[in-house]
Amino acid sequence: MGSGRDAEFTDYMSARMPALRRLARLLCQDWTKADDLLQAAMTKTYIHWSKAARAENIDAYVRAIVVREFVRERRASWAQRVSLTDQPPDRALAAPDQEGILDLRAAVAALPPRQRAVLVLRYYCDFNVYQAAQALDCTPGTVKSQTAKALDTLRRLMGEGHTPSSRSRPTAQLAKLTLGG
Amino acid sequence: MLERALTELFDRQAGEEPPPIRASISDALHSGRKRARRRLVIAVGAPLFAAVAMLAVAVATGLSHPAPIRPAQHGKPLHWLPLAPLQFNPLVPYVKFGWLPQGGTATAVTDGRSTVFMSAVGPQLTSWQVSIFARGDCSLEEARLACRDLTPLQDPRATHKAPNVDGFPAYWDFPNTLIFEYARGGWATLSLHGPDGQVGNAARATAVHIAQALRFGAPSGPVWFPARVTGLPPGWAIRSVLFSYSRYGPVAGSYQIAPGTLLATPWFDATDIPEIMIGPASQQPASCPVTPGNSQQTTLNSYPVIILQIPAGQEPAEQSLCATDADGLAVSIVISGNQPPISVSQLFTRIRLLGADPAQWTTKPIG
Repeated sequence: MGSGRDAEFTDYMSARMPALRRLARLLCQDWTKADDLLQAAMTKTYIHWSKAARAENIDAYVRAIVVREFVRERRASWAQRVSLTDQPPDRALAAPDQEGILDLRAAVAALPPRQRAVLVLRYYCDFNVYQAAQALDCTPGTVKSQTAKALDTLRRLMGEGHTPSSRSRPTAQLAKLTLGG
Repeated sequence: MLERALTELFDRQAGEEPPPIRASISDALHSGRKRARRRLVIAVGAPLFAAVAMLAVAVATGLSHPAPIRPAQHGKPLHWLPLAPLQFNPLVPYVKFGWLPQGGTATAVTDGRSTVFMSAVGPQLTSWQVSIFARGDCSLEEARLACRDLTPLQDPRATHKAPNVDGFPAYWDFPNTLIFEYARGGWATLSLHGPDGQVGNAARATAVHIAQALRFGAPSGPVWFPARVTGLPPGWAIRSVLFSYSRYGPVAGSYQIAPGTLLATPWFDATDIPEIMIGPASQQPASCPVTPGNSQQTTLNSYPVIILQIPAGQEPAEQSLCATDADGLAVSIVISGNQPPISVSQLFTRIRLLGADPAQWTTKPIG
C-alpha cells in the first residue's frame, strides 16, 4: 500500500470522521456501538480506498459503506421479513407496551436495524428514495416499504395508531397477529 | 407530523456532545492493510491450494478418483447424500429447527421459492437466523458465498474453518456466521447474535449444534391460510409466505402472490407483487391509514374497506386496501410498483375469507 494512498485516506478521514461518527450514532442509537461501527466502516473504506477516491461523490460512497456495514453486521438483510414478531408462537397477542415506550427516541431505538437505517437516510441525510436505495443496495420499492413499515411501527409504539398517515399501513400490527389461545 | 419529529430528533441527537472517540484512523490503516493482504492471499492462493489438495487426494487414493472427495456422512459415500431442492414450495415449509438451547423458541419463518429464512430467540437476547438457499442459488467462490438472493455486500465470506455439519464442510464468516452445505448443492448460513453483540466459542458451538439438528423435508406439514383467492389467470402462485407456528401447525400471516413472470425474481425485489397480510382481528383492531385526497372509503364484497392510491411520481406508485374487520379477519393488501398485474380492489373481490377460526382455513390459498 502506498504512502500517498495512506495520506489521502488519513486526510479525508480526519476531516469527515466527526460527521461519519454522528451518522453511526444515529444508526446505532448508542455512542459505543457507533464507534465500533465507525471503526469497521473506516477499515472497509481503506480497503476500497482506490474505488472510493474515484467515486463521483466520495461522501455518499463512504456513507453508504457505514450504512451497509451497519445492516450487514446485524445480518438484517431479511429481518424486515422475519423480525416482525418477537412473540413466541402459540400465545395470545399481547397489547403493545405503550407505557414502556414513551418517546420517539425509545421507539426509534426499538426499530429493526434496516428500518432505522432507512429513516436515518431519509430524514437525517435527506436522501430521496432512490439515493437511499443506492446507499442500501436495494430497490426503491424496498426503501419505500421499509419506510412505511418503520413509520407504522413508530406510530404503534407511540400509541398513535389512529394518526392519519400519508404512506402508512398497518403492516406491523397485522404481521404481529398470531392465533389466540 | 412524525416525519418532522424524526428530523428534529436526529438533528438533536447528532448535535449532542459526544463522548471521547474510541475509533481511530491508525487502527483502520493497520487492520485495513492486514485485511487487504489477506484478501490478496485468498484470491491468489485459493486455486493453488485447491490444486495441491486435489493432488494429495489423488495420491492418497492411488489416482483412482479423478476429483477430490468430500467427507462422507455416517460412512456413506457422498453420492448417497440427499440432493438439495432446486426450488422450495412455499406452501409446505422445507425446514424446521430440530433443536434449540433451553428457552429457545422459533419466532418467525418465511418461505420463498428459492430461499427459506427462519429465526429463533433464546435467553438473554440471544438470537439465531438461518437462511437456506435452493440448489444452484449460491456458490462458494474464492471464499465468498455468492448467492443470487443476496446483494453482493451481504455475501458471507468463509474466513475460518468450522466443524463439519452432517459430514459437509462448514466455515465461519468470523465471528458469528456459520456457512454450510445442508445437502448436495444447497448452501445455508446460520448467524448468531449474542447479548451486546458478544459471540464466544461456546455460542459458536451451540450454533453448530443447531445447524446439525435442522430437520429438512416437510417436517411441519403445510401452511394454513385464512383466505382463498379464486378467479386468477393461470400461472398465478404463492411467491413467499411469512408464517408462525401455532398449535394448528404453520399459519400464514403475510404472503405474496404473483403471476408466473414475477415468481422467479429475487425475493428482495417485490416490485409490482401483491402482498396480502391477513389474520384474526385482534383485541386491539388494526386501524387503516387515511390520506385526504388519496384515500377512498368504499364497500367491496359487503365489507367496508379503505383504498389508498398514491400515484407514481418520484417514487413508484403504491396502492393499498385495508379492512379492519372482515368476518373476524383484518386484511391489508399492498402493491408497490408502476405496472401492477392486478389492482388491490380486483384482488380483494377475488378473495374468499374463511373467518377467524383456523379449523375453517385452507392449505390451498389459490384456486
